[in-house]
Amino acid sequence: MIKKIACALFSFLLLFPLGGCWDYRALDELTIVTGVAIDKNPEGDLYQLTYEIVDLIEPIKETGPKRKLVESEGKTIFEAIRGAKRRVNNKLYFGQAELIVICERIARDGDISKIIDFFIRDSECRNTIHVLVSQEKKARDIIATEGVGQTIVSDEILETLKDDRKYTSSTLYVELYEIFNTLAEEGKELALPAFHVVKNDGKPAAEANGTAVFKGDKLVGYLSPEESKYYMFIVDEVRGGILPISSSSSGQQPDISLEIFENNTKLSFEYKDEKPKVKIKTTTTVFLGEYMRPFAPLDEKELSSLEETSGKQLEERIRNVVKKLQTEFGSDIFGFGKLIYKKNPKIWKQLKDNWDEHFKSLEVEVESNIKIINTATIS
Amino acid sequence: MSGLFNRNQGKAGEKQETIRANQNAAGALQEDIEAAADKILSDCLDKNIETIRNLFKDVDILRVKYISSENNRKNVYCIVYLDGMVDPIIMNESLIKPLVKSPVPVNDEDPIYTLMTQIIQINEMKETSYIDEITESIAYGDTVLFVSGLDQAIILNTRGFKARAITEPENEKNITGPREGFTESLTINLSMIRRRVLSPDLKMKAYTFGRRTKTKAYICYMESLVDKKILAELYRRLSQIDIDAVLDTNYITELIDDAPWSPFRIIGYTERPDVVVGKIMEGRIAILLDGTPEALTLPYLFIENFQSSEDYYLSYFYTSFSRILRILGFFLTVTVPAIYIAVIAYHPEMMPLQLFISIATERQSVPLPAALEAFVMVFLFDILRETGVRMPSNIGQTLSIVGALVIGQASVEAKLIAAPMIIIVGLTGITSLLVPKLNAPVIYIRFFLLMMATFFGFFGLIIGISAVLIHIINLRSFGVSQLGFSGKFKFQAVKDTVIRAPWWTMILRPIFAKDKVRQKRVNRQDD
Repeated sequence: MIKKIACALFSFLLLFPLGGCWDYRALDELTIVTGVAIDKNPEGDLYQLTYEIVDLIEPIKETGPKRKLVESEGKTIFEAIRGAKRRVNNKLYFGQAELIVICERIARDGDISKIIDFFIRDSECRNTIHVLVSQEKKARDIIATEGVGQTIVSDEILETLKDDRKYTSSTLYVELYEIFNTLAEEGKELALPAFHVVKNDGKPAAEANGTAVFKGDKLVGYLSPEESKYYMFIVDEVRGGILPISSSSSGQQPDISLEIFENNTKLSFEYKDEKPKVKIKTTTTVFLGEYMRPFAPLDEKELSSLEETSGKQLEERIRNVVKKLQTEFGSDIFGFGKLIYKKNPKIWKQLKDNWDEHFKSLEVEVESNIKIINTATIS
Repeated sequence: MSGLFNRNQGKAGEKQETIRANQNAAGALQEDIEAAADKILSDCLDKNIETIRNLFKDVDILRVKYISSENNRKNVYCIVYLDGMVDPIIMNESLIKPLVKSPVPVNDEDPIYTLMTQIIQINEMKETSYIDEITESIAYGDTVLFVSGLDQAIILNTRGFKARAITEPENEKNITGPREGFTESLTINLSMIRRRVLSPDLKMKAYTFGRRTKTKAYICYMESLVDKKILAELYRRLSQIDIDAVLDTNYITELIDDAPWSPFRIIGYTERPDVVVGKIMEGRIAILLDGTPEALTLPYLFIENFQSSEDYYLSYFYTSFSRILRILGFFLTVTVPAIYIAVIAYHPEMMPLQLFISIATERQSVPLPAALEAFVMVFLFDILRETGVRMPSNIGQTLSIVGALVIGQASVEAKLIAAPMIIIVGLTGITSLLVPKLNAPVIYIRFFLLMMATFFGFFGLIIGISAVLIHIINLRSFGVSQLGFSGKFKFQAVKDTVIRAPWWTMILRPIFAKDKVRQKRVNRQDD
């Protein structure tokens, strides 16, 4: 019996080291950070960090949670974050942080992997935190805006990013660990959501504005929200959104809105005559959501011709985006290289040393099928 | 015994002496009783009465009455009984009157036979010559008839004490089903069981508990269903009981428990005769004790903590749902405070931002740390609950006002306690009422898990839950695993656990029954 009790007590004591670095932390001793913006001072030797924190001083019962901004500087990111303690009574808590905003300058200088290292390494931060590029002068401008639907801007931006695929397909949904993976692997370049500030109701508001295209660590340019949509078709990230189509094949002002219900993209790869060729095949199910013309019933024939013209237009637009990436940026954000590596590692071995050149001259074939499954509540 | 009065002088040696003196006195009394046990009646009436009077010395409700027959003056009878324990009508009409008035001559050769068969008009009687049997019968409310010149006496059933009426059991209320509950009277309780099972297969074996109280008890089971090994084990354990007084079935429970150090019940208890019959019909054994309205049933499975007799009287759709609620209630009541502390003190990133903000706001400027607050509030709830049980019922309103308003509302408004804690404790309290049979283990497990969560977060909570589960899995009730693991998944093994399957699927009895088949499989598709 004594032996048993001693065993039980001993194994209980074992729990103490097993708990690791976990410790009891009172909630009222935390400063909740929801988002952080990272800038550099004009001299380029100090990081200037702006944190959006939840204001727990004001009673939230009537007004809902309020936010405040806290700023700090440091030679490294971690130094700056700890430096904030000199200003704030409680330590900054990053467990609920949802957003990292990086200014364009840092992105262009190729410092992105330097910056995200802390957030990946730190045990408190989530690996699902979102990183976006500010198209404004400073990253701070993005989180300094006022929220439209919520007082906490980081939370609103997060919701925007989360729902984007479903409703607009205008920007990417990338989490921190994916950035880390993309930067570490071959055959795919990084693309991040880009945000800018617009005037809404007379006040500044943050808005998703397409995709920031990287080459290696460096920002090389942006895709507009419209181009981002076709980019997302290629990487099979589209879950919804509107596809504007013009009814005539000559392609002037669009007059039809197709609401994307489902999309499935298949990438395939061929290697013929020492030349790689990538095939993109999209199959999209859509609703006809809007047809801007004097009312006339749609018949089957008209619908099938619409399917054909819209398919052609989608093909054309996807092709344009690929061309833009090939000629203007020379950055393989589609992961064609990765595709080749997965399908045929031997060929990838031959191509990878000179992949930039190969990508620029890569032959890409696009085939889009659109299926209109209904015409909403009128025929 | 005078040593008792010296206690105030406070010397250790004297205290020792006092205890020894008491022990000696107790020993002497014991010897008296043991000596009397072997004694046999003599053929002298006065001597016999003297013996009885000596044994019942200072028992002033002992009544001794001499009677002689009208027709046969030489026969002197003496009846001995305890006042208030006999029915005076039976005494007068069926015993005294026939004895005095009967024209039947009392045969000198076998007067006892004549008395028993022709004169006394009482249904139950017994001839004896043992003094211990006589004293026990007198104490139980029987009357003993002595006849002059005979070394035998007749024990007559004249029991007629008042018992509480049969009422609905307070602690096991039902919406449907039978409304009668056990009373303190053993005979009434037995009749309620017997009435439900008319087969002679239902056995009721008498047993006596308590060296001094000699409390009567009955062990009931179905001969063809009960596992003889369990029955033998029960008798073995019962035979080891050497307590002098048994006032409630819980005495027996604790004395024959498989796991005496476990807060979990190893033996079931119920106030409902229908429940007892239901359990007997599943091959269990019931113990009914005189003077207590609660019967014991064994073996006891862990799932019985969540079962209620009503589960079988209402639609299985409804009762399966309430089973799930009860099991969930048990889980919630032990884990909710611990989960709350683990989340807010160790893993605040688990909460959605909005919840996190509102809890963090409530936690601002509250004096106690959350874990201490949880201990205080859970403890406070236990105080309120205990007060509710102990206090006179007419001041219940005061308690609810003090409990709900002062402690709940005012302490939140005064920023002494964070509001989420009140919700957590409320949830804990309400869910604990779902499983009244587990009220003892629940208190300890709740504090244990809360402690583990306070020191080790979720990691500790999981270790704690595992420890509790390991303990439950190891519990045995009379050799039967309380969780009833059989290694293989079979529908018949789980038909009456988390859900209550419809009656037509309950083909088999629980594992410990001797005769497993409850009913034949009926093909209901053909109807």
